[in-house]
Amino acid sequence: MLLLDTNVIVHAMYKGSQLHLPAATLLQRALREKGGYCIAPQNLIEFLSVVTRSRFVDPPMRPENATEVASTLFRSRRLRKIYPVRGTAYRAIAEGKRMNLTGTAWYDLYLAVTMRDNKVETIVTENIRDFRAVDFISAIRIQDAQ
Amino acid sequence: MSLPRDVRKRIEDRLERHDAVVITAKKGVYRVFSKDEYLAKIELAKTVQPSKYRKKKPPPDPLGAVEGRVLSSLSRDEMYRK
Repeated sequence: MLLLDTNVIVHAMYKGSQLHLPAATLLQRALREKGGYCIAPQNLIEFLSVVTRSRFVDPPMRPENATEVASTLFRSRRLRKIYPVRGTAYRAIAEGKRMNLTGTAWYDLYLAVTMRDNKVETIVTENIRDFRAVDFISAIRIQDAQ
Repeated sequence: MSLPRDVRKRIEDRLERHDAVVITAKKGVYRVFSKDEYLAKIELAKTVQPSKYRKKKPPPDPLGAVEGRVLSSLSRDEMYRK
């Protein structure tokens, strides 16, 4: 089971992105084949945050279009959704303390701990470097996940 | 290898005529050719090049992608920065 990171969904939605083709291929597969791919609620909220801001994408998506995409992903029965459980935040705090984390790396860690709590071991992402410090999951590049 | 009865029959018919037999299998469909028929078919495909005329698959677009670009890295460091 692979988790599709937020940037996979964003690249899949923008035809001019260099990663559009591999990202759209992955997303299409995730929406057609049951049991191979998942996302977390954090990914959907980050997607909405990114695609509605002109700092990240040109043009930004209108909120009604962006929420339509997020709803489709959320409603898909083939794309699994994984959720933090009661102890996820506590375990993230413990791991972050052990790793001496600072700043925005905590968000990556929280996603990684959510994955571990759901027995998902691999994330597909544009930024594999951000997950190097996390030793209990592995990260692969979008173009290598085909 | 167990073959469907009608395929076995076609092979036997060819063998009775002392033809060399070529059997192709694609998605569970067997076709039986004599060697000459098969070679002619291969040659024909080289001349006609059906792949040239085959309709190209449209690129994957599961959610209706928009024309546009991603402007920056999408690391969480970027995403959560003010």
